[in-house]
Amino acid sequence: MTHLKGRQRLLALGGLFLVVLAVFVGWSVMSKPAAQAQGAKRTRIVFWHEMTGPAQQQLDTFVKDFNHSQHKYEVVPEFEGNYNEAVQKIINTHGTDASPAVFQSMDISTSQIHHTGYTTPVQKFIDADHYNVNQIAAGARAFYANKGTQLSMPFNTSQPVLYYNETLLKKYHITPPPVNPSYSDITRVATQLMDRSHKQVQGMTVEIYGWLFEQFMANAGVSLANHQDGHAGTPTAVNFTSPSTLTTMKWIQDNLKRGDFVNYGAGANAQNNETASFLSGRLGMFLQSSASIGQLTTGNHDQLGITYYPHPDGQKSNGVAIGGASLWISNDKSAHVQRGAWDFIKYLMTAKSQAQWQVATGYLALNQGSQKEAVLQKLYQKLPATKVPGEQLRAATPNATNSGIFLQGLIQERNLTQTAMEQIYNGSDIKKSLETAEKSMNSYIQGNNRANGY
Amino acid sequence: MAEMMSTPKPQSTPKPQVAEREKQRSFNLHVNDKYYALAFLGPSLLVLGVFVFYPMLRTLYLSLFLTNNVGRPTVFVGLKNYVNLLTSSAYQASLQATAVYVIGVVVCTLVIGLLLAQMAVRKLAGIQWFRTIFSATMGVSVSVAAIFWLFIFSPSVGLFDQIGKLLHLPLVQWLTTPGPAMVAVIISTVWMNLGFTFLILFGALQMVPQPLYEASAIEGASPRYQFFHVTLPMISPTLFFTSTVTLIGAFKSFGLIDLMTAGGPNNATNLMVYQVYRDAFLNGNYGLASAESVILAVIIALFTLLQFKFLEKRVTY
Amino acid sequence: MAIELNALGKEYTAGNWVLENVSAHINSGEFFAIVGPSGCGKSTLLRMIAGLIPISAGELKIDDQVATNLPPKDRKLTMVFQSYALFPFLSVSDNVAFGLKARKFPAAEIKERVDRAIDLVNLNEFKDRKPRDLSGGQRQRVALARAIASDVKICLMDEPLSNLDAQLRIKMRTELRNLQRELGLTVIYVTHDQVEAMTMADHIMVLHNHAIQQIGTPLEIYNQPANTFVASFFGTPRMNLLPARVVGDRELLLADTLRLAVPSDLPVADYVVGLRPNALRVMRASADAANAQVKTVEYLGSDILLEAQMADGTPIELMTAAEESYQVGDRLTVALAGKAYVFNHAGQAQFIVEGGVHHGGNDVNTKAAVHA
Repeated sequence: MTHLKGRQRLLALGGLFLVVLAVFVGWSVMSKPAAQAQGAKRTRIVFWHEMTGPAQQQLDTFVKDFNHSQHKYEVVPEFEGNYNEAVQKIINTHGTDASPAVFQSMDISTSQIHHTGYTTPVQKFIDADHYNVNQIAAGARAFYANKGTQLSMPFNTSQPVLYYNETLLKKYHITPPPVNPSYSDITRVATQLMDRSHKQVQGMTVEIYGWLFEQFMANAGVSLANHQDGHAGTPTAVNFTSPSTLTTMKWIQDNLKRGDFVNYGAGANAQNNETASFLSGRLGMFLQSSASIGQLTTGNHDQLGITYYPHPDGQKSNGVAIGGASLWISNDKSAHVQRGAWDFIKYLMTAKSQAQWQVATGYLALNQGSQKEAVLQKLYQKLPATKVPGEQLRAATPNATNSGIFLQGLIQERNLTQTAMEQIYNGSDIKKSLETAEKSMNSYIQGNNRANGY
Repeated sequence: MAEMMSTPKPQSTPKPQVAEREKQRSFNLHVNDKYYALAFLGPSLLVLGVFVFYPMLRTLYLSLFLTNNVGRPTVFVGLKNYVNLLTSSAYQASLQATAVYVIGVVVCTLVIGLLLAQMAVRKLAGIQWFRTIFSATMGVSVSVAAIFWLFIFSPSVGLFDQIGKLLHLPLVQWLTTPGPAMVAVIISTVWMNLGFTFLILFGALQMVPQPLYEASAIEGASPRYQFFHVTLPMISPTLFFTSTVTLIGAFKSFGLIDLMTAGGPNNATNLMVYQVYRDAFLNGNYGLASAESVILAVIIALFTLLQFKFLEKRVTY
Repeated sequence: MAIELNALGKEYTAGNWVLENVSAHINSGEFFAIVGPSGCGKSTLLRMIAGLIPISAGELKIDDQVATNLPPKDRKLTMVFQSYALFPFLSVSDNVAFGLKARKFPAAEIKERVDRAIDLVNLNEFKDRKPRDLSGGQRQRVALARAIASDVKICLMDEPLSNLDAQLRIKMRTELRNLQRELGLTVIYVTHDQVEAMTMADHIMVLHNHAIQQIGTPLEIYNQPANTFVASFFGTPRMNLLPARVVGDRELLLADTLRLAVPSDLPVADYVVGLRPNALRVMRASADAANAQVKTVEYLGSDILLEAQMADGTPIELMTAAEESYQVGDRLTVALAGKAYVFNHAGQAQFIVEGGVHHGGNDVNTKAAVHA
């Protein structure tokens, strides 16, 4: 008797639980179609990006203009946080409704994104359309290509450059550095600044930043990873201890010891602090992305000078790799959606869009035709120095050492080289610090290659 | 009353069949109880299972694998992730940094929190105002605190450097030199913790009966003696609680570290949690990150256990 | 170890005196009770003596030395609190040893004194227990033991028995008193319970309205109350206070019904006469002869307590033997049969008329008739 009663009660309880569950499930299912109803006529092209500030505003304008320019597609831009977070989101949502049709992903994720197999190389669409890729800057293209295949379309592209305060140099009667300076050119200016200002002005800073470390190697023509920085095959080891690298680190360490270079540390705080110091006339020179131009010109009463990235003495500059991000097309969407994504990319890459992009953001206009666009001409007239990064990009011939490193785990590489830089800046033995980083990176690469079955 | 409370003892042994039936009945009741328990616990067990137990087991599982570029476990490596970690000098440095940070935070938080509470418990004019100020950091979010302290520690415009300049002290690059950076994050964390700790300890101090102080004053105890022999023992359960909470909190500190130093300089503030974040969300190395999580969890559990074992004995009365 | 209170006063805010002009001499080895209703300032006075709150006015002497501004620990006294103030984290022995340890006595002496104190209060078996494992009475003994162990001869007690149940309280009264005598302690004992004060104290100070009402031995307090407050505060059931007016030469009319002849002239028209319930005789009466009517009946065992109403409406409490049975509404004749305390209009005692004998100051033996 008790048994039966108990079971009945249990059934009732279970039933109640199921009802509650069903209500929840039903509610979540019902609420979906409402959101999907909008894009019924046009095909929705979800576009993930990581742009903030003026770049985000300009990007939204591009999207609006593109949506007005045709009736087939509706591009929906979605901001996904910072670059690092976005990579994980892209990987984790692939194959679900939530994944994007076209997305922006940072430079150093190129190899990782490619190897996920989650994307369709844009080469496919370039070939299908007989799209003239030569109009796009070769140096930028090379970064996102592998063995002749264009994997993604370079988009927001910057070059590392050296900024200097021209007004300050004039004040202390210092000859500015040449447009393509060597290390000793920079040392000279930094020393003079420190001496002639009686230490009121700091000469120069090199942020502790793996990207800058990579660029020193690129500009010296040295491979960071084997198999030609990964362009000829999956790298199995890195080399942080080439003579040029050691020379570069010694150059910085010596200058730090002398006091004409200062250390602003690493990360966003370092960037903010060095920018603040530079703008307030307390710092003469620093290395940073060309994308900072906008920030350094608005509201700056001093004249801004820009040079190419410094190179080791006694050799020609090899040219630096670009930084920034590119646009990828996912392969978990229909051909129709992919086509819409490609059309949107083409729209972004037109001479007109790219010129507008550079004016608005400081990222370089990649379409060769953009240089003739009125908006860009106007900018050059107003601020001649803004020409320099583009010139640097065009001056270099793409080769294996200045087209980026096609390696998974570049974030780890940057962490490790940054740690080494920090140690070196604090006076540690250069070779030892770099060897430690190299060893860690090599074991990381081995594990990663093993995990991925390369 | 007494009859109701004591269990009635059977007068004589019941016959076997009766006993059997009794047993059967009680068994049925027992089984039903189990069903009931399951029915009532089911939903919460389900939620716990999905959101707590599964992720825990999954983490344990992942920690035995290498993961590929999309985060899937591909190569079983056994305990190799653990071995690699524990033998890596970088990870050892991270453990060491965590130890320094945790000890620094717990000790400073408790000592300063107790000091403030002891001050605030006195009945002075305007003390209410101070009580509000002392507990104010409870309402400050991590990001706001980080900005606030970044400003204070900032070179050239920071408050500390301005004061240093006035006093002609050498300039300290707070966040870019390893030692001072650790000090800076400890100070900031302690500051963040103080509001909560102060409030809890203040409450505990107020609960100490006044006659205990009066009695000990008459018995010849100095204020110092009273503090160590009356106040501290009386609030020891609360101190134990706050120390445990602060310890666990310190092990899990992430926001301030990420915003202030991002683990730098030279990994000086690269705490264990931060290393987990780096490996999982920056390097996409879920296997390693899982192993790090497991180590962290074990360490926290161990410390909490130790605290309970040693401290709890002394604090209950 | 005598204590001298010399015009002590306490004000928390300027001009707002909670205690005024409190003077007393407490002899060495005396059990001195301070009694009064709650809020009368008795605990305040004790704390002033202990040094827990500062004295605003007057002078305190302990053992002939001025102690007005000494810190508590230097006053050579100890205190037992209503809440016992035991340290919950310490065992019985450690609680008792607390003060000795704070004063850094040698370990051997501490042990000896603690053992003796614990022995004195019969807590030997409970030495290692924590206070939470003890009953209320045991905790009370621990508090006593702590006071004893300190070996000082003055002990202040702030309502130490009020948290105990009634039976235990009565038992502890005797124990406390015996202990006090045995150890030769000077005890100042604060209580709101007049029975406690009456049964234990050598002298009683009655506090009310921020001031001393009377100081005296229990007998003096009971038999010669200085005013209506003291008269009604001591004794159970309470003394009846009846309005009285002068009706003739040396005669008072109480509650418009009872006549009281007095031995001396009465200079004013109105008085208050206090009559303890046992000083009134009660008889059943017929409706026309009655002067009171029963309102409530309380059986106390051997006695019956009646609340009645006099003819003029004045309430009165009466005691009668339990053999008779009364019902609410019964009519009574009430007659005077014992001491009558005559107070003036301000409540100050004038003289006592004793069941036919009149006491007025030192002038006793005057005859007085009592009319029914």
